[in-house]
Amino acid sequence: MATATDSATSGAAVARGRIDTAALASAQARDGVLFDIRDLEVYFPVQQSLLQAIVRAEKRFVHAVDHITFQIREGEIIALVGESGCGKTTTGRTLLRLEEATGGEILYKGLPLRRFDKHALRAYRRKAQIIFQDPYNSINPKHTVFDIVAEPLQVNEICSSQREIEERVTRAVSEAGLRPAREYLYRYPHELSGGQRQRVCIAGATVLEPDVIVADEPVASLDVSIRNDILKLMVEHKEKLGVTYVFITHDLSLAWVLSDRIAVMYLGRIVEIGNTEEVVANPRHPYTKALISVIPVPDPLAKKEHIILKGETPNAVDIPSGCRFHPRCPEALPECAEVDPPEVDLGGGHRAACIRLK
Amino acid sequence: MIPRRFRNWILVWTPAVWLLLELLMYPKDTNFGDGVGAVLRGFTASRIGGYPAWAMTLLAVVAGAAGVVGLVRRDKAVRFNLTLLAEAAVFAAWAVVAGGGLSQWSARANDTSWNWAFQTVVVALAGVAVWMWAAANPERAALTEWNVHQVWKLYRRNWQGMVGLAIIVIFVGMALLAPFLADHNLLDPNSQLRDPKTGQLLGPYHPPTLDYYNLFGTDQVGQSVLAQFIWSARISLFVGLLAAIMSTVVGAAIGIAAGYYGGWQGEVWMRLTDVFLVLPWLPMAMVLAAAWGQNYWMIIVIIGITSWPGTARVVRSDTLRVRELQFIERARAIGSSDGHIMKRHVLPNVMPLIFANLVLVVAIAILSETTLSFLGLGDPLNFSWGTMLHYAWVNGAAGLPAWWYLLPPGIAIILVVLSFTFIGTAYEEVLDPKLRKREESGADNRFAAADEAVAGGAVS
Amino acid sequence: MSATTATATSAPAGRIEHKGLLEVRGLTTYFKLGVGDVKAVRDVSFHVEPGESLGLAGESGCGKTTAALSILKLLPENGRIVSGEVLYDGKNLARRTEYGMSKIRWKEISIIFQGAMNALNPVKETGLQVAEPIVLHEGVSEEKALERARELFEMVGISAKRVMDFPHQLSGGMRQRAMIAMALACNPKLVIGDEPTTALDVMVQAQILDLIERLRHELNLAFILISHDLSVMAETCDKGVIMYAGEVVESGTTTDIFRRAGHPYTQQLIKSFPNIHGTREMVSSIPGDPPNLLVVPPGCTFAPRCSERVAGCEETHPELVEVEPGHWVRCVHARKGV
Repeated sequence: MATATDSATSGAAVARGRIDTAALASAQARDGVLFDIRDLEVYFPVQQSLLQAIVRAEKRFVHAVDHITFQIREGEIIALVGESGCGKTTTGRTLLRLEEATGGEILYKGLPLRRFDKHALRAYRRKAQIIFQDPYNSINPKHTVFDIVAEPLQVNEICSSQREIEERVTRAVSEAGLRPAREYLYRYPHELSGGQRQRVCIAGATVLEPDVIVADEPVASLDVSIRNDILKLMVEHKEKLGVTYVFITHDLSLAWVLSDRIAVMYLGRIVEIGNTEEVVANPRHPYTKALISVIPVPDPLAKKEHIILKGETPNAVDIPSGCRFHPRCPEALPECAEVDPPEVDLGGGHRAACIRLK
Repeated sequence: MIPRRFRNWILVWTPAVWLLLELLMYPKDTNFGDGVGAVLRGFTASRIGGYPAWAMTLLAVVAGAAGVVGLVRRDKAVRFNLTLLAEAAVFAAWAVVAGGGLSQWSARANDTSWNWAFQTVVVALAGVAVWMWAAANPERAALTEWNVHQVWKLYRRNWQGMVGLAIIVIFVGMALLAPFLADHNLLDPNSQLRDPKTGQLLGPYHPPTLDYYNLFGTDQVGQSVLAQFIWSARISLFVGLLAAIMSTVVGAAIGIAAGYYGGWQGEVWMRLTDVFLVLPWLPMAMVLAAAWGQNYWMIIVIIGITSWPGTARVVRSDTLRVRELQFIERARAIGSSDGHIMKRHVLPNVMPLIFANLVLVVAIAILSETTLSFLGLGDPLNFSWGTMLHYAWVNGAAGLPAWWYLLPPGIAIILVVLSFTFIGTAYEEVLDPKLRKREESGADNRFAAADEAVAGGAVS
Repeated sequence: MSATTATATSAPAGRIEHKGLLEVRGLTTYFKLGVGDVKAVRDVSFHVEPGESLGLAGESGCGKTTAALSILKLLPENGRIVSGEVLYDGKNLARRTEYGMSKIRWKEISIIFQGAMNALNPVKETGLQVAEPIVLHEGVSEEKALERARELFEMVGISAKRVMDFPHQLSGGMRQRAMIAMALACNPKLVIGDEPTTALDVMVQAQILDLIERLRHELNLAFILISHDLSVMAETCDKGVIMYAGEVVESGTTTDIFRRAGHPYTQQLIKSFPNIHGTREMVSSIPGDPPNLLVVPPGCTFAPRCSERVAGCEETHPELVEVEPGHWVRCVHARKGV
């Protein structure tokens, strides 16, 4: 599963310490694996009061991402699904180094992300882009659509002439569904609807022709009837341009229609991961089973049992002992409070971390 | 309303026509036959209107070259390049006329009113050039016009703002047209006013009569108070504006840096600001004036150095707000450097506040300049309203009572400062997002027609 | 939609006969803007029986919140009920004075506003805020009201010990439960919930909806659920009303609406929600935008976006047709089936 991705170049580069742009340029995804995330840990320190600092109280951390391991393959759409506080957004942002990992490794095409030097990081940022949830705040209200979409090109000094910039911007805006592009290039965000704004954000991300786009709840703020267009756009990008999408969402049913693989997260851990249809048809982790059972469907006659969990997700500072889900788990055993279950391979790329699955 | 294309041409050619009128209005009996040599001598004279000739020549060459190159390359900004050429021509004419290229005209070499006229034209043309540059991109021009139109619609509702704007327009007009309104020679120490009918000297402290130059009477040496008043407008407004710009630029830069960086860097900037905030500005200004000499450029610098902390604090707090908005994070995600983010993202969003602040700072700067001049620290070679008040005070005009010497500058200061305050508060009302939202959510989208015309596009 | 006016002889003086606990008949509400009137709600009719749950569904701007606010006359300054009746307990609420309405609000009908859980006063203890309406309406002392607040907290699933916690000490789900407790404070017969679960995680949403179900049955509470989420409506409501551009385009039981949708908008809207227990297909979308309600189009409001549009749709305004008993559809293709 976790294939050895040390090629000659990356091995040498790692040995050298810092990854530079040359190493980045020559790297390739081995066996189609774009990202190899191993034991990733992202902890945020909780601020101590002065008194606590004086008495040297034990430092506490928010365990946003607590040792997760998975791979992201080229050209797939993988969804990170979970409720608020599960760490999916932090994972997505750490992939772009908008947050720094406090432990573990993220290997991009075999090269450890942590060791990229300043220039390599800039080069990497061209290859990995992000779309935020709120199309109202994630673009500068004082900039025209042209400015917004051209900015990545200008900042990274990619194009050699103004005309080239105009061409690429027009193409990106038009591919994002705003046609004819000329009508939209000089509008300001407040003159556009929410769906149009989100398309501008997408154009701003695709203009660099990245390998991977992290989409953080891209349709959550949009009206239901226009979600489809944005989702179709993502599928188009995947199929025509080979863009890999990391789709972060709390809506498992949307992840189900859109993505190839799903990773269900709870309190900083991946509790279940696998191909979408398999995970939804045969959920093996109690949390996944509960989530799927309570998702409302537009069919009043669908008879199903709702597994409604008690209580809410605990805060990520005080993680329960043993299996972190055990206080709410309807299938908990006494051992669950003591043993942190490892992931069990269920075949076909489907894994789940539950003590009952051994 | 004048159609747009005519309007722009009028803007371009009015200064040129004005220059022509200037040339025609002034002395006759000229002999243009002195030849090219005499003309060229103008460019090699040491000074043109007090400015070094080499600088004027260089500016003329650069502006001209830029204009020619632009036209040859068939840049879209045709009018901008033409304006540059016009600017070069004005510089050249100035050099010729004031540099002494033509013998009969050389007497005018140091004639200050000529120089003032040329200066005004140059400044006006520079403004036109900027407008033309902005208008070069038709879509962006349409947008700028739209934005200005929107701001104007909101601004118009505020009566104080309109009154303030009217008063300022009158005073700025008076300042710009000073060469036409009052002969600069009347400010010369030797030119006392004479009764136009009898030819006799009017003498000191002559009360106002209906004669044009005697509308405000005479001062302690018999000179026209009106002439001084009109020309003082230039200095007072100019110093005020420039000092305010300098103070705002420094204050905004420090404010943005302090707000954006935060942490210990931000703290350093803020403590520096606190130091300057706490320094008593008047004693410090007096010390600096004594040390650096008294001319109006120094006054500008002094006011600029002492008044930036207020702007810095205001800009910093707005920067703190803008810094948290998500598009800043997006800018970081696409690889922008901090400098780029501050310049292209923070600054435009903080700009409305900076502008509103600037207007109020202008008012303060004008008052500061008046204070310094009144205390005798102003520029002795030039008249400003504060200087007029100083002379009036020092020479006991209040006791006489020569009210015509005290009231005009005093009232002018009050009106100007009040007007800027009105404009500032009116503009702050324009900035109020609550007002703005109602406008935006109305059926106000000027692209609505275009939207209907766009058929079949995947627009959601 | 015909209004049934039963014989007036058997009714007490001034009492209007109406269906169910609350009946809205031909409600029309406009908002006054500088440039004209926004016809936000036009000729909307529905009724709720005691203990029944009704869903008002539609996208943003369709008028569902306005209709709900009209019931309790909680419209903003520039809103007014132009015509129609809101009949409760034999009286027309649309014509009542403020004083009359204050007797109804909270005591008979209460409302949970959209995003209310974020509108709690951050510097006042939650329990005291829940107790406030009790003090105001029933004139009891604060201690007694607090006792009742503790009971309410237990009823909605929050430990009574937390009654003196501040809002920031409670999670989002708990704050929403507190809002429900507040709505139940004076034992109303009808509760209106405006997007009660929109900002919540899916598990918490399930808990809240389950709670509302339970309370409905325990207290025989009628509930009007306003939501843009058709799936939620399908799961929790007995009856539904689909609104578009200020009008009712379809109404009936949820089974009617979801299994035998008659209006093209309803059909398309249902397909915009994924069914995780059905076939795995991409959700559909509806091109175009809803019309500007400053100028109401003469014909069918949905026609410009409708895939079933025929000649005449944009000119003639369709009426509601009863395609099955109790199932009404406003479309030219609907055939009367009673």
